[in-house]
Amino acid sequence: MDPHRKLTDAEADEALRALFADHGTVNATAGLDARIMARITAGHVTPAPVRGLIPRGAWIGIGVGALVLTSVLFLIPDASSASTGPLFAMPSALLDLLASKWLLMAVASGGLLLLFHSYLTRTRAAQLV
Amino acid sequence: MRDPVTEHSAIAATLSGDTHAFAWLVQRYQHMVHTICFRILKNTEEAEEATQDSFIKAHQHLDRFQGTSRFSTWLYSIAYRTAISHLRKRGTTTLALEHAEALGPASLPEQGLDREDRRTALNKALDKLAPEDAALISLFYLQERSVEEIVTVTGVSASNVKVKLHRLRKRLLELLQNELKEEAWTLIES
Repeated sequence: MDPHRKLTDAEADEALRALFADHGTVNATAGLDARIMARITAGHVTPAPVRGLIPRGAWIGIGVGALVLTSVLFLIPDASSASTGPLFAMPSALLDLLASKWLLMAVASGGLLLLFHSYLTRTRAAQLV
Repeated sequence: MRDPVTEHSAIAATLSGDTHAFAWLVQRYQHMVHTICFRILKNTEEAEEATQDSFIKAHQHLDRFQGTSRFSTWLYSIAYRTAISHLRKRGTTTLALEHAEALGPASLPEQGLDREDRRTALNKALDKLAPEDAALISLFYLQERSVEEIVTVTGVSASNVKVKLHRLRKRLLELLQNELKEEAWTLIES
C-alpha cells in the first residue's frame, strides 16, 4: 500500500475498529469487581443508628423542665403583691437568679445548640441510609 | 445460587435480592465500564472510583431499567454520566492535557511496531481528545454501538453524534499518524 494514500471512510472505520478491538480496552485492576461487591454488600447492612448527645427521654425531661420553669417565672407575683402560698415561698435570691437575663440566655443558647446538634445528627443518619 | 445463564435472569435475580447475580454482571461489564470512565477521566484511580460508583448506582436503580434498550447501553449511560460528574468535581480538564503532554512524542523502535507500541499510540492519541470525545469514539469503535445507542448513552443529539464521529475519525487518524509517523500505515494495514 502506498503509505501516503488517503484512506477511504470505510477503510478508516475498519482499521480503527480493528485497532480498538485489539488495544482499546483499559482493563480494570484485579479485584475491582470484589471491591464493588463489597461496597454493595455493605450497603445492604442496616447502618447502626446514630445516637444523639441526649436521648429522647432526656429531651422530654428538658422540655417539661423548661416549661415548668417558664410557668413559674411567669406566675411569680411581683414583690409588692407577694403571695404566701407554698409555690412562691422560694428564697428571693433564687428567684432573682432564675429570672435573670443571663440564665435565660444561657438556657436558650444551650437549647439552640442541642437542637442544632440534633438536626445534624438526623441529617447524617439520613445520608447513611 | 448458580451463575445466571443470561443477562435477563441475572437482572431478575438481582431484583429479587440475589447480590451474587449482580456480581455476574459486574464481572461481565467491569472492563468496559472502566474503559469509558478512563477515557473521560484519563486517570486510573479516578476511573476505578467512577467505575465503582457506576455499578453501585446501577444496583440501586436497577428497578428503573425498563429493558427498552440493551442493559449494557443503560449501564454505559450511567458510567458516562458518573465519569462526567467526577470530571466536573475535579473542576478542570487540564490534567488530561498535562497527562498527554507529559507522555511526550512516541519513541518508536526502528523495527516496526509491536502490540505495546500500538496500544501506547492509541492511548496517547485518545488522551489528546476531549474527555467526552474520547468516550464517544470508544463507544463507536470499541463497542460498535450504533448512533442511536450513543445518543442514549451520552445524551448528545443524533446529528451532533454523526458530525462528531466524522470529525473524530479524521482527528484520531491524524493523531495516530503523528504518533506512529510512517508506521501508521503499517498499523492501518494489519
